[in-house]
Amino acid sequence: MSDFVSNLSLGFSVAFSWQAMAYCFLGVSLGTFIGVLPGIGSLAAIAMLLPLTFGMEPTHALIMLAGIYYGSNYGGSTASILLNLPGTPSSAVTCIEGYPMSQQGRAGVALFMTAIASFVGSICGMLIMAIFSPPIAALAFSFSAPDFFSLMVLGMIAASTLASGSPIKGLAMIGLGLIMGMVGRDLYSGLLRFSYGVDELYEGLPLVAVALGIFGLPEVIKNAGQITGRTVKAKDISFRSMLPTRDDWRRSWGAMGRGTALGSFFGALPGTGGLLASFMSYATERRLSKEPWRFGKGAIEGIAGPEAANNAAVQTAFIPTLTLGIPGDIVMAIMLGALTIHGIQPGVSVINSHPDLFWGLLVSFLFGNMMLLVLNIPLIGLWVRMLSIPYWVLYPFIVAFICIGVYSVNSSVVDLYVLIFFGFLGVVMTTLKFEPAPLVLGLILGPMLEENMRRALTLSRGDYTVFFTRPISGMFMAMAALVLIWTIYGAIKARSVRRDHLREMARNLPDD
Amino acid sequence: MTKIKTIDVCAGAFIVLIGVLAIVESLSFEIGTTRRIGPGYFPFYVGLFMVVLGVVIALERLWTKSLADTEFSFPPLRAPLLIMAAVVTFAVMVERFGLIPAVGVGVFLASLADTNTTLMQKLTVSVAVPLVATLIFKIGLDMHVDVIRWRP
Repeated sequence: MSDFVSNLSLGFSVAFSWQAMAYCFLGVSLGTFIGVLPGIGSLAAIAMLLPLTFGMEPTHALIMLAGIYYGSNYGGSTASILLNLPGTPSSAVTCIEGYPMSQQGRAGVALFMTAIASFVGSICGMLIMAIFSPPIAALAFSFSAPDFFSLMVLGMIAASTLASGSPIKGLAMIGLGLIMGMVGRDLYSGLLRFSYGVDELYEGLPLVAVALGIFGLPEVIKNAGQITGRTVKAKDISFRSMLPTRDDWRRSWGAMGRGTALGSFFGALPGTGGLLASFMSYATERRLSKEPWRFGKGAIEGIAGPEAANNAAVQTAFIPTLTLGIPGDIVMAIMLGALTIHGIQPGVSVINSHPDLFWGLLVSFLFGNMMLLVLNIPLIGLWVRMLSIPYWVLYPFIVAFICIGVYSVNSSVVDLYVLIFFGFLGVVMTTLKFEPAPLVLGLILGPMLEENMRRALTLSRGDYTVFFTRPISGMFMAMAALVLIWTIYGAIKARSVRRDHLREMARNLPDD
Repeated sequence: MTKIKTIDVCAGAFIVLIGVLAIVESLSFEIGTTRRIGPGYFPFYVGLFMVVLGVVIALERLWTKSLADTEFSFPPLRAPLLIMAAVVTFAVMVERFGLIPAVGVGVFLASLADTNTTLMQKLTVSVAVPLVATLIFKIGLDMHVDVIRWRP
């Protein structure tokens, strides 16, 4: 207990400095801004702004980048509610109930409740992170190579099969990511693999260029010339119009609690993140509701639950990232890349060798979320006004910032060609209906996966059963197998349902 | 064969192709034994895994019966080509002519992707973005890049 108090006081001493506060404020404001605007995701934004943090202290850099991430989750719901356009992917669920509310003239209440739900989810997620991270990190010290290998396998399988889209295509993207991760010098032999004569790639593919090529450029390409004509009146949202009724509160509390629990769990599971948690929370609220017919027509618990879930997930995603060095979701993967760039080797030792970073970051979440509450309730009119910035003004800036951001990392034109290559790949993947997120996860985990596999097999003298006989490793493998079986079962069931449906339709068709 | 099936067959073929590329690359390295894994071991098995997945993706779709296939329309090419051209322009120009010309020309190409704006709006953006970029990255962040130079 005294440890806990001294850790927290260390965190306060780091996060309470005016510099840390300033970067935190900058981060959450930028995050809200990016979240409010549809057409820039938080992942692209963080990758784009990553080069700006190179000159900073690692702790400040991380405080700012994290602020962008959770800030964008607050802002993401604004466009969902007012325009039926999700500002970030995880706020897509908020459209379902939020937009009908705004059509009924209750936009203010919806905005207020999302801010409150986001705050509740974040703070609970943060507390869970504070309580569970030290024991997990301590436990992880006893992990050896096979355990890490199996944990990464579990994370990758969970990420590819539980996310949206086809599970098998997700697995294929993981594989592609693993191959991309092998580009560069092999740690053991020193040989260059998959570099195809480009010697500049010996350190591996530049992460910022890959992420912006695969997420940033296709996003701009998809939206350029498409997002037009939005009209929102900021003055319609007065503070008085934001206050929920007693009935709204009564419906929302339980939803927030359940959402927070779901979000904290899925956030902490490596590889899955807020998107899954928010969908699960919505489905749960709908199933538990005594009046399910209200859903789809502006049921407030349908926004309170998912918003709490997705913000709790964002906070708990930091647990595996900082205690195990395994990213909790795709943005965390970029965050790990940021740590490496700042000279901090991600892994089990971060929490012990850099306690100031870990606890400072944690306490900054508290301040950041308090700032976000102010930014998103009294100052909401400001952000609503931002929605009237037309996309034709915005996207040329995004294209320019993507180019400059990638170039500024190493002042290297080769990085720009990597950006172009992955931009094309991103467009091809969108056309062929592949999800890009598992690819980046595979790319980041690939080198760690290969290293741990080699080390494990060397230790076991080439015996593969080591991954199943060691208790911790075996447990992760069993969980991975369960996830796979569940996915295959779901796919077969969906097929048979569809087949029955087709047969039914064919029977009802008149004979030709 | 309906159009939507074509997409998934292409997708499967794409994954098989990448798997084959990985296997080919892995053969130029020592595979090693399970006791001492060589640099070719991991790429070889990941490649094999990709080939299997690619075949499954293609076959799974061919076996699926469906009545209503959504029509596959070829994606519009204007936005992808112009946005990619903008990035290529930046890559080619930035070390030869400096930040302002590279961003200006690139942004102009990118702005052509939106067909709803007037030429005046496109030109305004093409002037404003390089100036803002210079203010932020050169003056604000002291980035190592010349604003204007001549080294064709």
